[in-house]
Formats: sequence, structure tokens, C-alpha cells
Amino acid sequence: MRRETLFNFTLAGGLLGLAIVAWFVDEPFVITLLTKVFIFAIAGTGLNLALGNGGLVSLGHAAFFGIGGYAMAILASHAQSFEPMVIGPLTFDGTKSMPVIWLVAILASAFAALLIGLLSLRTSGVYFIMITLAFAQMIYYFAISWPAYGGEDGISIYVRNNFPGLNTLDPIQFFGLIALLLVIVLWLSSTLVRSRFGVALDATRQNAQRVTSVGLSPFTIRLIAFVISGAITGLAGALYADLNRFVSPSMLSWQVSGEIMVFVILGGVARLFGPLAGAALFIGMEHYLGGISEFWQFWLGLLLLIVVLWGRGGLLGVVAGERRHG
Amino acid sequence: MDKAILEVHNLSRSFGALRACDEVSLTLKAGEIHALIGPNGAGKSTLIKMLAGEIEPDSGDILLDGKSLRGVPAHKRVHQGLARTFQVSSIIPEYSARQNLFLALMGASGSPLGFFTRTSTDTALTKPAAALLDEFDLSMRADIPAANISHGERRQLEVALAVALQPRVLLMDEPMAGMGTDGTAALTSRLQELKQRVPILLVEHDMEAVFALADTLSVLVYGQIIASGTAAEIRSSRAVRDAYLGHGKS
Ligand SMILES: Nc1ncnc2c1ncn2[C@@H]1O[C@H](COP(=O)(O)OP(=O)(O)O)[C@@H](O)[C@H]1O
Ligand SMILES: [Mg+2]
Repeated sequence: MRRETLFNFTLAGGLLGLAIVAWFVDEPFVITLLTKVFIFAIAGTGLNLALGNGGLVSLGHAAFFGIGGYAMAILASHAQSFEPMVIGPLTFDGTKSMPVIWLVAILASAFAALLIGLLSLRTSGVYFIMITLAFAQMIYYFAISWPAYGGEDGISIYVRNNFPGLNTLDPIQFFGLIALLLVIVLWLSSTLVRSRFGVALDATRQNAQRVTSVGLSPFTIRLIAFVISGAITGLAGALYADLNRFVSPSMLSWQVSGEIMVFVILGGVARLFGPLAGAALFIGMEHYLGGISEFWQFWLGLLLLIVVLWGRGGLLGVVAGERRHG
Repeated sequence: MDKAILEVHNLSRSFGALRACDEVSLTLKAGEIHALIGPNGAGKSTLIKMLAGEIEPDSGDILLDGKSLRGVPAHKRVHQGLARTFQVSSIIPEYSARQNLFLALMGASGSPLGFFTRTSTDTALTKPAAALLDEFDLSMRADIPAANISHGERRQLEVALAVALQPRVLLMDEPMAGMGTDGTAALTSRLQELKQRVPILLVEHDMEAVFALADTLSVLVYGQIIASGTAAEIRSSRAVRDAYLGHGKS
């Protein structure tokens, strides 16, 4: 077995094992922490598709994460207040059903990614980074000044949303659900990467001129990747809001975009398990170093610097002993 | 034999004050190789780029089978039958020759890209790719990154990628560049064969290859076609000798 594959199994198995141990010794906090890791891994897997496979350095993925979060909070808040939402002549009841909420979160963030992608994918390099950041900031300020849904204070949801057959308030059951979603997202991602679309996307990152000259449109390929990427990160946002039973504009802030990018870079750009490894390392450091030193972000910064300067393949690059993206 | 497939009418393009192409007209007929020669900087690559749709002409028109290509984006021209090779090899560096061919075959099919089927086991790709690797003597080096194959092999791959598109017109920008004598001879006989299937607009510096292959020749100097005719006509033309053949070929 390749070293990377072995590491992936060990990592996933280790985190799952840790959750089960925490369940047995009744440490719900650890389970919640692991749930957070898995949700961030989903968000990072979304970004990795654009950043790693597509070479699209988006500093605006907080937009999709936040839109997913708000999709959850808006639907659930109408359900908990029994006030239907009114859009023009139409009225909708909210919902507390996770599958419905996920679908809405995915569609809303995919639509946002389509609009942002249509406008920003005409640029590249630093301009693309800046324009994606700018769009996310616009949505951030919009959320702050939108009193109907909490403005700066955000929205609290009193009870976690429902999933048929599960007690989602039980940490281990919610964790299991998230773990299943992560598996699905990882499967989807690995399938996409090996498909015709994935082959064309990676080719577009390497040499767009060649892609054009065989009759494919780099713009369309990038746009599709950006939409799928945004949709996955949007799903993660809905899950994160459900984990906290709270959403606020801070989910849309540029720091969140930066953190999602850090998961990907720490773990290994364009590697399937990179975001999971990165998120685990990040949350682990935040929690354990944060307990020891107030300056844990200094150590995180140092680690990032080392990864970027010497280990461009991230944690998984070190494990596999090779670099991606020569 | 004499039906024009590609017609170029008064095509012009300037870069600032520089007129890189100046009212260029030419035709390409079925079964022929039309060679375009001229010194460096004459505007040959600029013409190819306009034909391929990579840059916009300032004026003039391009007809493929009598239909104007104006406003047709580069990738759609490929579906209409226009394929090109690059003066400087343009390949996907991290992909093997086989994967590069997969990409070309995906583009050639014209159908939307699938999201779920693995390419590595997709016989619609693997079979024709294997045949092309064989045809272009790349089978032995098919599975290492294309960045690591030799220059000559990359030139072969470049041609194979264009052939994979099953074009109706092939635009080739100095395919022999840096090939060495053996490589040039091999490619010459390959193009000889190829032109039975697809007419070629060939930009080339290697005069021996050009005179061996070309049915028609056009000479481009400072963006203008100064002469056009059969190989014999061009060889004996004074204007051409003065303007081009007499000088070093740089
Ligand atoms: N994108 C560009 N911008 C400015 N000048 C260009 C550009 N492309 C080509 N040129 C100029 O146009 C002229 C023709 O170039 P080119 O078509 O590459 O010549 P050739 O292929 O015949 O050697 C040259 O003087 C070149 O410097
Ligand atoms: Mg040139």
C-alpha cells in the first residue's frame, strides 16, 4: 500500500476511534471537537477542488460557508417561530429537517458560486484572489446590515435540526451523521478527480492553452469546479451552524476563508485527505496549544511558514515523500 | 482536389504600430499541404493564432467550408474541424503522453465531460489513445510525465494530439523546430501520409522539408504575402530570393 493511503486510513481510523473512546468514557466535548474537525474537513474538501485541482486560489469561500449557515438558520428560525417566510406572493414555512436544509444550503451556495464565478473567473492570479475576497466581504456586510435575520447578533436555533431516525442532540449520533457525510464528500471528490471532468480541470490548471486547443473551454470547466466547490463548502456551513445552533456574520468573515485555506495548505493541496489532516492539526493546535499559550496562532503561523517554504505538499506531502504540482 | 476548405480573406492584425499581418489572403484545398514561409517576425504565428481563434483579427475574414468563423471562440473552432500544433510544444506537463491524449480525445468527442466514470478504464479513451501512441512511436514512453520525455518525443506528441482531434484542417506552426535531421525526416514522411487525410497549412523554416512536402507555397514578409505559387514557381521567383531565400533563414 502506498504510504499516503496507509496514512489516510490511519488518520481516519484514528479520529473515528478517538470519537468512540470519547463516547465510552463520556467525554462529549471531545466528540464535539471531532465533529468540528470533520465539518471543517468537508469545507476544506470543497475548497480543495477549486484550489488544489483547479488552481483557483479563492479567498472568498467564507461566502459559501456562511450562505450555507444562513440557509440553515433562516429555515430553522421560521420553523421555530412558526412564522412563515414571505417572498413576494409566495409564503414558505421553515423547516427543521436536515436533508431539506442541506439541499437548500447546497443550492443556495452553488447559485452564489455561479454568480461569483461568472464574474471573477475572467480574472486570474492576484486579481482572482482579491475579487473573491471582495465578493465575500460584500456578503459579510450585507449580513451585518440585514436586521430581519439578526444583523450583527446573528440567529440562535434552540434545538438542533432533525434527521429521520436519529437523536441529533446526542453528540455521538450527530458525529456519526457528519462522518457519513464526510465519507460521501470524499468519495464524490475522489470520483470527480478521476473522471473526465477532473482530468480536464487539472489540465486547465496546468496549461489552459492546451485545453482550449483540444476543443474544451477552460472557463466553463473552472466555473463548474467553482460551483461544485462552493456547494460542498456551503453544505459544511449548514452543518457548522447546526453544530453550534447559531449563525452570525462572523461565519462570512475573511478569517474563515483564510482558515479553510489553511486546512488545505497544512494538510496538502490537491490531496484527498489533505483537508481532513489539516483541519485535525488546526483544531488540535487551537485546542491544546491554545490551552498552554495565548500565542498559539504564532506557532500555527510558524508551522504554516515551514509548510509553505519547505514542504509544499503539506502534511500529506511529507508523508508521501513527494510533491504535487511540480 | 481543388475545392478550397479554408479561405483567408484580407486578414489584418496590428500590435500597436506594428502591422503583424497585413491583408493576408490564402486558400487551403483538400489533399494539399500549403506551406507558409518567411523570416522570423513575419507574422506567421500571428496568422495561425487568428485562424485558431486565439487572437482577434482587426479586419478580414476566415471561411471554413464557406462559413465564416467570425466570433467563433477557439475551442468551438476545434469542433468545426480546425486543429493546430504550437511552435513551442504545449502539453500538459504533469500528465503522461497517454493522459494528454485522453484529454484530446475528450475534447474531440464534443460531448459534455462526465463526472463519474474513471478515465483510466474508459475504453472510449484508452483504445484510441493506445492506437495513437503506437502510430506516433510513443508507446514505450507513454506513462511518464510528458515534462520528462525528450524534446523530439514532445514534438511527436504535439502532432498526435492534433491528429486525435480528427481535424478537417490542420494548422502546424513549425512542427520540425529543434527536431534534428532524423526527426525531421521522420516527420516529413508522416506529414506526407497525413495530407491524404487532412489538408495542412504548414509554417516551417526547414526549406528541405518545405520543398519536399508543399504543394503550394506562400511567402510572408513583414506581414504581407509577397508571393504564392507552386514550389517550382517560388524557387525561381526573384522577389522571393531577394526578400527571403537569399538571406539566412535564422
Ligand atoms: N502579443 C503580441 N504583442 C505585441 N507584438 C507581438 C505579439 N505577438 C507577435 N508580436 C509581434 O508581431 C510580429 C510577428 O510575430 P510572429 O507572428 O510571432 O512572427 P513569426 O511567427 O513569423 O516569427 C513580431 O514582430 C512580433 O514581435
Ligand atoms: Mg512563429
